[in-house]
Amino acid sequence: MKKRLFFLIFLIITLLLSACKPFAENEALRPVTLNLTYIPNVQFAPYYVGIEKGFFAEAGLDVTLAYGNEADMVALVGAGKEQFMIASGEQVLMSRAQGLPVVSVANWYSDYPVGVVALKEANIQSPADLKGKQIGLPGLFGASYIGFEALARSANLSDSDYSLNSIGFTQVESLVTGQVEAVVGYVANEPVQLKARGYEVDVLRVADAVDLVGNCLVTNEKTIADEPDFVKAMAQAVVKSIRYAAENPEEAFDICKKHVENLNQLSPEELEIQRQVMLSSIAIWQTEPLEHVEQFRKWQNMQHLLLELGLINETLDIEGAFSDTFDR
Amino acid sequence: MTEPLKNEHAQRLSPRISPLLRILYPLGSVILLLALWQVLYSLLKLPAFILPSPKMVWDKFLLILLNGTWWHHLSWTLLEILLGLLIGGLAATLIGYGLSKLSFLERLMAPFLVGSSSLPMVAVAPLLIIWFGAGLGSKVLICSLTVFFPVLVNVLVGLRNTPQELHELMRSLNASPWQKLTMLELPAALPVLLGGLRVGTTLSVIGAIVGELVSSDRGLGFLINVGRGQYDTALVFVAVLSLILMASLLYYVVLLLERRALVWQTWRKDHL
Repeated sequence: MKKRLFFLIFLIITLLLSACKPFAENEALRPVTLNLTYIPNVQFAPYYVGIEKGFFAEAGLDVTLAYGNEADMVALVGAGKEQFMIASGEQVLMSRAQGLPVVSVANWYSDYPVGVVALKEANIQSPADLKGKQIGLPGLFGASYIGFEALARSANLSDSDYSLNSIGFTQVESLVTGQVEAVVGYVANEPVQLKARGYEVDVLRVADAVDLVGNCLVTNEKTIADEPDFVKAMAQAVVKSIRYAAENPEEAFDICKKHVENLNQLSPEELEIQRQVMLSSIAIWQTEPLEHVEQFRKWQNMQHLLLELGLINETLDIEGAFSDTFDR
Repeated sequence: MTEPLKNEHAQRLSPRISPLLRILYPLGSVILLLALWQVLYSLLKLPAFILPSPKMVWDKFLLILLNGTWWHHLSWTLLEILLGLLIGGLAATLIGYGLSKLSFLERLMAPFLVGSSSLPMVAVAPLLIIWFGAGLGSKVLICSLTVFFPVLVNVLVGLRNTPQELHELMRSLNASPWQKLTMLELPAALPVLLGGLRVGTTLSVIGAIVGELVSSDRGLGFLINVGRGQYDTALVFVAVLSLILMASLLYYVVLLLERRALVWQTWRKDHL
């Protein structure tokens, strides 16, 4: 009996140890973690392309991708515990207002990626139609909330004009089951998911109402001051990866299959939906570096909105929040 | 007169059922649940991303089982849980023993022990991941913390309930502290301690999942996130059902250990 017990314990330990992969080191390249938010997803195609096509390696970088909560990661980058992440513009300004010296060094999205999505029968055609409506959004935080408020304010609406419901990341389900009349989501995701499932939808893009800073490559002031070449290498590799993925979407999608869990196990119909999500995402990528004046205007718009919402209390030095010397 | 009465009472509390029925009852409830699920699916006609059919979930399970994805993620969560149980359980036992010997320290710690039972791990987990990184370590820590407090409280209760006359007997026999620990305190506390471990096991599963849902790139919690992100609800179901199965199996393993370790108690009840 004892022998059998020992054998069983030995078997379990062996199986569990087999779960731990050996750590492969590449001594020639500098290891660096690029923190992406959310979970592995086709929308992150440029970063998978950068790894697989060797753009990061060409820049001397051995990039590992990590996923997690955006606000937590901004705190880590701001505190200097991590060096690079992808974050939305409002996170950069809100973190700087809290004394976390994060800086955007390359733009990923040209448009703010958020929009309000409603089924056709709700007849929400313009931001003014949001009056009196039940709106579902993940919560009163993050890009969805900021984007919605920007859209509502563009129609001179305030929070008393509509009802905001925190529904977590269940936008598609909540809309389809009629729990809310409109939802706030990513324009490249939720509308595509709904259309592919046979629902007719209307989309109000935040980017059509106001020009805000979307997702960008973010680092901290210390890394910029101590290792500007390192930052330049990363920023340029990211820009190159974005451009390549945008120009070669089919190849980018194939590369995604190596990095996005479960993608290969989806049915052909579901796989096609994911391809459409990636293509919609490409439409809002920044493939050419933006002029300084343009960038400054976007950051200023974002600051104005955050001040209005009371999410920051004082005017910040916008020039310190972004740099356009690394991505070109 | 009392003996037949005692037996009758025991029989009324746990009526003896045949081993076959013991398997058939839970099997029947599972089949009933599956049938109810299928009926709901057929009646409500909801899209698969809101409610998939049992067959869709089964097909997804087979798919990820055969290509190794299922074990890849399950083994990681199991590793987190087992390490969490080991570290949390061991730390709680050692600290619990220390506290039971130093009553002033126990009194000092009492507010924390009471408060800790309501520690909202969902709120604390993101902070632990920021402080200790997103890797295996932070998940094991979350599991250990969820296991630590129930086991600690049970260790304290178990040690405190050791009959005073037995302590006095050990003292009169000039027993060394080690002899007291191994021959009296540990056996006396073992039933309550293992009870705590049983509760800790299921809590540890919750701890691991909370950690993985916050931030991870492997594990059943990660698989749930992936399924949610891709509207692959069948995958979410597979991950959730796997968790339930794993938690139940772990619970029964501890129960089995408990029965084996406490075989002397049954013997004592039967013979004294």
